[in-house]
Formats: sequence, C-alpha cells, structure tokens
Amino acid sequence: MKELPDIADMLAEVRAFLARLGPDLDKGAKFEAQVAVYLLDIAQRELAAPSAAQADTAQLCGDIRAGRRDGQWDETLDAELDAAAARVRIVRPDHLKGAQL
Amino acid sequence: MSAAPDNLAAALRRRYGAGARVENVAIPTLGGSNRTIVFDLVEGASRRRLVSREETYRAANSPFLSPPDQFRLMRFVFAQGFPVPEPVFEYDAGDATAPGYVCAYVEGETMPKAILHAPALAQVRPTLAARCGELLAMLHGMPRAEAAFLDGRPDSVDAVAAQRERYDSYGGGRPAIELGLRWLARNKPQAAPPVLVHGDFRVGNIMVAPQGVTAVLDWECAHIGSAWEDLGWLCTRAWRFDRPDLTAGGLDTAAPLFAAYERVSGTRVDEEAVRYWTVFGLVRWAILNLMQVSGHLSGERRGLVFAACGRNVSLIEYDLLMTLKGRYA
Repeated sequence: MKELPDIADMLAEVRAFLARLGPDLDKGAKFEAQVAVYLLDIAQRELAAPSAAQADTAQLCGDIRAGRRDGQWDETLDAELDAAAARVRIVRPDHLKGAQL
Repeated sequence: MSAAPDNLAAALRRRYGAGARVENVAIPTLGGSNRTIVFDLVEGASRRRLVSREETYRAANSPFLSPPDQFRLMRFVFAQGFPVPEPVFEYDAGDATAPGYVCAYVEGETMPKAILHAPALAQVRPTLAARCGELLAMLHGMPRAEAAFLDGRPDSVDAVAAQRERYDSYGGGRPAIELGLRWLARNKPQAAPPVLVHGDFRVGNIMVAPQGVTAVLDWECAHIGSAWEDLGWLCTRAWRFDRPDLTAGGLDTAAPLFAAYERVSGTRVDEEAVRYWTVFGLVRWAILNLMQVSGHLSGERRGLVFAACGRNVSLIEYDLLMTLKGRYA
C-alpha cells in the first residue's frame, strides 16, 4: 500500500504555504522564506530526477591533484562538465543559460 | 527600532562616561557570522551615528582576519585617506560584547541590484568601474611596512595553497574544484610585486551614493599578495551578477577599470594574470560556499542560507569548468 500523500506532494504543499506566507513577513524573514522555497524546489527536482549512481570521487580527486589526469585533461574536463550540468539542472536549471548567482 | 543591547550601552559608558546614551538603534538582518548594530551615540548635545560589528562565530579554519586585525588595518587605510568608515574603538576584555569594534556610519547603497540598476544611481554608475580602478591602485600603492602584520597569513604566503588547505578541511572530494586547483598550480603567472590586497573588493562591498563611492567595506579577507588578485576578484564571473558580459563587476567592460588603474598606479595591468585570478576567484568562491555548508552540517551554525550555499557550489563549479573549457570569458 502506498502511503499518501507522497513526499513530492508534501513538499509541494509546504512550498506553496511558504510562498503564500512570504509577502506578509518582515524583510529578514521574507528573505529566509525565499531561501526555504529555493531549497524545496531543489528537493522536488531531485526527487523527480532519475537517481544517479553516487560516484566515488576520492580516487579521481587524488589523481587530478597528483597530475595523473594531466594527460587526459580535456576528457576529464568534459566528463566533469557533464556531471556539473546535471547537478545544475537540479539546483537551478536557469543557470545553464548563463544566468548568474 | 530595537532596544540597544545592554552590553553595547555599557561599552559606550565605559568610554564616554555615565551620561552617554544610545538612541535610534537599527539591526540590519543579514548578519552572517557578524552582528551589526547601527545606533546614535548621544553625549549631551552631540549625536553621532555609529556602527558596532561583533564576530559571533569563528570556525577554527576561518579564512577571515580577526576583528582586532581588521580594526588595525582600517585605522591604517583610513589614515592614508582611503574611503573606509572611520574606526572609532575596539571592544576589549572589559566589555561583555563579542570581539569586534565600533566605526562611523557611512551613507550609501551596498545592495548589488541597486548599484547596478537603481535609477537614483544612474548618473554615477558609468563612473564606477574607473573609480574601482583608482581605488585599487591607491590601495596597492600604500606602504606595505605598515601592513606587515598581515605577512604571516596563509593567503599572504601562498594564496592558492591557502585555498587548497581550507578546501581539504571542509571535506574536499570535489573533482571540479580539484581541476580548478590543478589548473591554478600549472598556470601560475609570473610573480608580481607584493602589495596590500583588500581580498573582497567587489560590488556588494563598495558603498555607493549619488556622488560616488563613499566607503569600501569588509576588510576581513585582506592580505599581502598580487595586485592582479584584487582586479581578478572584482572581475570574477560570480561578481558580475546579471551582466556576465560586463567583466568589471557587472558595471562595465574591463577597459575603463584597467585604464584608471594604470593611470593612478603607473603600472601596466597584466591582463593574462588578471584572467588567472578570475579562475582563482571561482575556485575560491566555491570553497567559501563549502565553508558555509560545512558549518551547517557540523551543527556549529545551522541555517537555510548556509544549506543553500552547499547546493550552490555546483553552480560555481559549472561556471569554473565552462571557463576552463574556454566557453566562458
């Protein structure tokens, strides 16, 4: 039996509540409510995305630092750019258009 | 209006006598690791608007200058005629406040969105990139001996190594940042003469009024280093806000910034080196965001903004990799 509402539904409801509340809050709390909505947007997108296998990066990080990837610099850069773009699609898809922080 | 905290009122009475009063207290909301209180110090018929800054949180691996060193540096640059809020006094062991200091209140706008777009600043806006160049040239020309107390800072010894050590202390493990650090290690520009570097000179830390820049704020990242590091930080993509095409802090192209710097300093800008330091800027900004989330995850200082900083690291990594690929300038 699937318990309802599911996580996505609950996140959506809390998000809508915070977005509704925001305009009535004072300046500091309004900003924090916006950040809370931002975090819930990320959570919703991450939940909807197919779960990517968590790569073990320790070996790769050590190799890059020791110069063992210098010979495959462009390939490493391309692979990491793809991975970063996938993370950006979760965090803030508009950023891929060159939008700024 | 808020009530003046008792410890602030007591600190003022210690210095200005039992008759000193605190009025018109305002507490700006966005504090980060500092508590800022704006107030009037009233002594008899005289009234002066002042700002109290207290450091409420300090991580063991904090990249920031201690409040006493910030105060000392602000006193030095103020005496040199640089636009900085006048330092008034620092808190000491006799005060119940956190470590910090009191300085003069300066009128002006610091919000990047307003500096870049507000109609009230339309007249002054086209002059700001050149003014930034003049100010940095002025700062870099100051006698370094007076800032010798900064010589031992990790950032003064080796700015890239300092970032790498902090990144490791926040957990490391991010290939994009490793690629950035590796690129920085392999592409080091020729050493530049060491100068006093502000370290966080960008839109957001310069206070702008219709008549011009009224103050340069936030000296907690100051160190001794390459002049091109300051120019590179101002030009770092993250600090161009909604105008990534305007290299000079989202204000203008680099041309007026560099021309003004050269005119005042008499030194030719090494544009290749400035570009190097813009890559450094992205690496450093990613690591500063890792610092924020590391305080959140350890529970030392939790908060929504610090949590968001953790996820924002990926946005900076994307910009960094696009820059290393040559797809972003």
